[in-house]
Amino acid sequence: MVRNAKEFLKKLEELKSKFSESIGKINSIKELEELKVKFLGRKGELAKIMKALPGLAKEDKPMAGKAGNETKNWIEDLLAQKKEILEQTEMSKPSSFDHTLPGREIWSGSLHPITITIQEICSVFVSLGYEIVTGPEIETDFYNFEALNIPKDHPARDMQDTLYISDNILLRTHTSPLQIRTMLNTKPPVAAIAPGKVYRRDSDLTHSPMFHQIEGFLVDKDVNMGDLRGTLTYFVQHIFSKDTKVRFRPSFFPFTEPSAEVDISCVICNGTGFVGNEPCRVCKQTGFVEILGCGLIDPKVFESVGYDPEAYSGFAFGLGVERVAMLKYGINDLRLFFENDTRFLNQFLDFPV
Amino acid sequence: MLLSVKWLKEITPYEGEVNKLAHVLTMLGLEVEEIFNPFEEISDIIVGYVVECGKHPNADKLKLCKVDIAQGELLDVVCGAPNVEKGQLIAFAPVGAKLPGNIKIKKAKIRGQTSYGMICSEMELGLSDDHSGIMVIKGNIQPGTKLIDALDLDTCVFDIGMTPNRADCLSVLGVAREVAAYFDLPLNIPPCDVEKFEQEKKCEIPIEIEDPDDCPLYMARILEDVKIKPSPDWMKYRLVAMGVRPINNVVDITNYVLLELGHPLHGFDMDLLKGHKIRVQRAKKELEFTTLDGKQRRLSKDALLIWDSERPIALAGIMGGYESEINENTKNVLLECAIFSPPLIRRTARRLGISTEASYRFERGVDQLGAENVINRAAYLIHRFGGGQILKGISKNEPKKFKLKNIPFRPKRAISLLSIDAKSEYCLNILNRLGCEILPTDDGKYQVTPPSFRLDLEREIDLVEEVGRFYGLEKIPATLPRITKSAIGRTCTHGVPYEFLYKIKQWARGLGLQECVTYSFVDKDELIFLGEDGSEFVPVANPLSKDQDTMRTLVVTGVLNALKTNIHNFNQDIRLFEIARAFYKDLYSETGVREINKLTMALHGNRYPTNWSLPRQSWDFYDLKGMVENLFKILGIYDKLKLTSTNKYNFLDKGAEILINNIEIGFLGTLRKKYHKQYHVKTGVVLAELDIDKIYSEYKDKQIQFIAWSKYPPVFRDMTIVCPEGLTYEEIRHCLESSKSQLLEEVDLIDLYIPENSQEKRITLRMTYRDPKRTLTDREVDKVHSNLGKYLLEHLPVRFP
Repeated sequence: MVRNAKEFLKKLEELKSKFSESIGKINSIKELEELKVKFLGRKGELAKIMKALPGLAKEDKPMAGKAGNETKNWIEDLLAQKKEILEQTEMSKPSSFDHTLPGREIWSGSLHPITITIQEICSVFVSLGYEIVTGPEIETDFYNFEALNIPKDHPARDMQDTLYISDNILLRTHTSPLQIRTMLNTKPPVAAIAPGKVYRRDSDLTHSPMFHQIEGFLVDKDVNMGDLRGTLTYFVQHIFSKDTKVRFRPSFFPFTEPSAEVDISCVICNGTGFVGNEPCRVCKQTGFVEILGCGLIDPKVFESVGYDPEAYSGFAFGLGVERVAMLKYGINDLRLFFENDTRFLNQFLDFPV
Repeated sequence: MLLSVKWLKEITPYEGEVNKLAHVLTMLGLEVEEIFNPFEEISDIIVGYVVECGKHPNADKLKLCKVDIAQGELLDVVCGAPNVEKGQLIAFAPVGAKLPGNIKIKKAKIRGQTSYGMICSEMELGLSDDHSGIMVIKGNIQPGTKLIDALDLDTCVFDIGMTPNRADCLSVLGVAREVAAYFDLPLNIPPCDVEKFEQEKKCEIPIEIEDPDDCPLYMARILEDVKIKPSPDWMKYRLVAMGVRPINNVVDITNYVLLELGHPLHGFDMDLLKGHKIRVQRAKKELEFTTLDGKQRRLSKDALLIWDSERPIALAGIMGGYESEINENTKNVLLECAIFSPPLIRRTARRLGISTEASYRFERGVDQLGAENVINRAAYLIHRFGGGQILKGISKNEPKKFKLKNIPFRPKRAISLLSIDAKSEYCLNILNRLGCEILPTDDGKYQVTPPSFRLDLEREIDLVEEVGRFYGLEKIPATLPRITKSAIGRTCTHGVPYEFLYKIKQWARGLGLQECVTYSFVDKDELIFLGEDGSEFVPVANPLSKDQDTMRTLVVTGVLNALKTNIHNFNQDIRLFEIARAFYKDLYSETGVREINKLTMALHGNRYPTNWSLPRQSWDFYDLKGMVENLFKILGIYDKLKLTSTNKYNFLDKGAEILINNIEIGFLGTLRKKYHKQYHVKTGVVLAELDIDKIYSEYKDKQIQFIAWSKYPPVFRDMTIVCPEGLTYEEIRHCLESSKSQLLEEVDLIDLYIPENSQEKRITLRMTYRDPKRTLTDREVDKVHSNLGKYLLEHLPVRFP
């Protein structure tokens, strides 16, 4: 029995040396846990000594209590040190864990390259302040042709072989009806971009009866050809690269005048006309590829939507999404877009914001 | 349109490089799509001189020639042609040369004699159909010269993509006018000075025109005693270069003048016409007419025809008639040069499904004021190369004179729209070079009168375009406009906004699904096969093929067919989605069609990728249901979602309708076995289709509202109940909700087990209890939990195990 502080302190010293001796023999974490219980447990060695504390003289109690605590801390420190050593040893032992095994795979989803291309193009124009509009895929002759200055029995209709539902109803041949629908719905200024499916009665290696277009148009006071050139150059250099050359050459569309076709330096051969020593098949050695049609909106279009062609001017452009995607990704066969073979889809895992 | 550079240079003396010319034309809007040599295939052929021509020792019908090709030694050549003779210049294919059809000439032994090449016929060279003997070359030509040079062929041809507005450029003259204007070169109009060859006898044939709008001008010239024979070689070869088959001198000349001046002509055999009269009149009733290609065509009543006194003799502006065609016995020729209504010609040509060089030009418009030159040019050439007598004058009926247009023009408007750095004089100068007459008007504007061949110049903006074209679009500075649109949102959107569709696509992509894009039209039979209601179909009137004859009412056909392709290509584990429109007949819609955006999804194969630690399990109904529920949760409209079982979809097994607010918006289920074969499916497929428009209308006004949570801890209690067959989980959920247990926060189904040989389901539910204002004690939760159990027993046919 401990009767005084001296004996109490002596017991503590004995405990410490006994602990030192014991811990030296420990070789596993399990033994260490047992040792901890033996010395620090509720019914452990230290607790037994501490039971004597209430019986000590009042003036000795603080000192003895403090010494008990210090002993406890000393033991805990040694236990922690030992635990760390044991764990290190444990970890350095060879084990069956193999971090080179493949992780639990997660299915990769993907967006179709047509969607990716549309989104990238729309983003460029949204950043310029355009809004995205959409419209019906089945249209009336008025929206698809008449209002766009393509009268019946006009050779311009040959430019677009049409799939009809009835005499007056058709599958839209371009996204240009969105110019009409949008302008009829709002007063200038207007800046809009219209992506969507379009249809033509045409099917071969380079034509699909369904494909995708993006129409863009801006109507405001004093819009001119320079603005059109600037906007489309900005767009091309954002979608392809800042070194891509842009060429405007006069052309004809019934709903724009002046009209132009835009060529860009061939992205396959960098405008050189040759890939290695072979003539470039994409641009047929010309160094340029056609990418979109554009022009100032024809006054007749303004008349059909009730805009004053003297007060306002505007530009419009239309481009083929598949064409851009083919150039951008080097896809050589249009049919791949609509086959949806997963070996194709798996190549487009990255996605635009 | 094909254009020979050599021919062009005969009209305007362009001396520069061919590539420069092509570039200039392209940048003027006449896009040179290809530059080629139509005689590429005979570029190896050289001119040879037959020095000796003797009998072949071993064959009666063959000859053995010695040919000089200016390479020192004479070559031994065996030739079987009946017309080969000593002293001829001939077309010679030496050993190693190529002939059309990719035939390569080799050294050959013919009946014991070695032949070092071949003497060619015109047919072998692709120059004509003449295979009666070898081609004999006239003139004084050095042996060894290339044949294409010796014949002075058109070896450089541009293929120009002509836009529909440039009817004036559908001829050599037309392109030459552009070149002359651009380079400021003179224009040499081909000779058509016919008067000095005219006879005393007058050309007199009455011409009746029923409707001046159908035919504003009809002119005829008569040539007598014409000798029908082959055209001169140079003309034949030139036509060959332009892709036109030479026939005889009169027909060839009308074709030649068409290519040269752009105005289609037609020649009739005068003696085959009945009565001395020409009439231009519509068919008026449906009738059969045989065109000169020998085809009998059924004409509609508004087809425009040329008639003699009794019957139709030509399909106006499209093709001549079989019975009045120029033939080898023709002596007297009636030459027609007219103007026809473009829309009318176009309608008839399209209805008959024919497009000729003539109809192509008449549809786009030809130059009425230039017509007289054209008929004179043709008469001049027929006289020269057919020896005919030209009767005096032209018979002509012009019920509608051509009016030149006067267009007000403001150079400043052109300068500002084009954004070019130029002065007014510059703009006027360009228009002047293009043949426009310009007069200043009092108000500081100008009055511009375009030449008669520029039918496309009608408005000021057309003149602006001309200025831009010649200034060069490339020289216009690029500027970025400032967008000053109104602050009010959307101006036009069909159904749901693009951004919402893109959001759903990103959601599906994030789940590991792959987007596909498929055609909007399908085979009607496929929709019927899937059990769709034909009365709602929107058929395509002129489909490209039967498998694209109907607009789809189900978008799921797309993923099913994509699945088929992938299975066929040995691709495994397919997870597809598509967002596209479905089309339904709708009498109340502007287009007679209702278009609905749909999301469709299909899962096939394994739920997890092939991996050492993932189980091999097939997708099932609950995978796709989980995805659908997830979509509704993300959009904050999960409480609106309901599924009920249905047999409505013939192609679904264990099918369910998806409802929002009790309105059907789609389906979910597995593909019935019966349909597996059609889509090459071997294991199960789970399918869903949802109406995105309805989902959007539920979603569009949703706004996330933050809700504070209880800071007191939850208490969990599990409960297992045994349910009879047929009791649905939904009924259990409803019962739990109706118990109105205050502390019950959430119920999760954590286990479902059906013991073998039993129909009873054992369901384990985990209840979460919580009070928002205090910590619950075990005792009170036990009480609530046991009361809930009693409630279930009272209200449902369930028991505890």
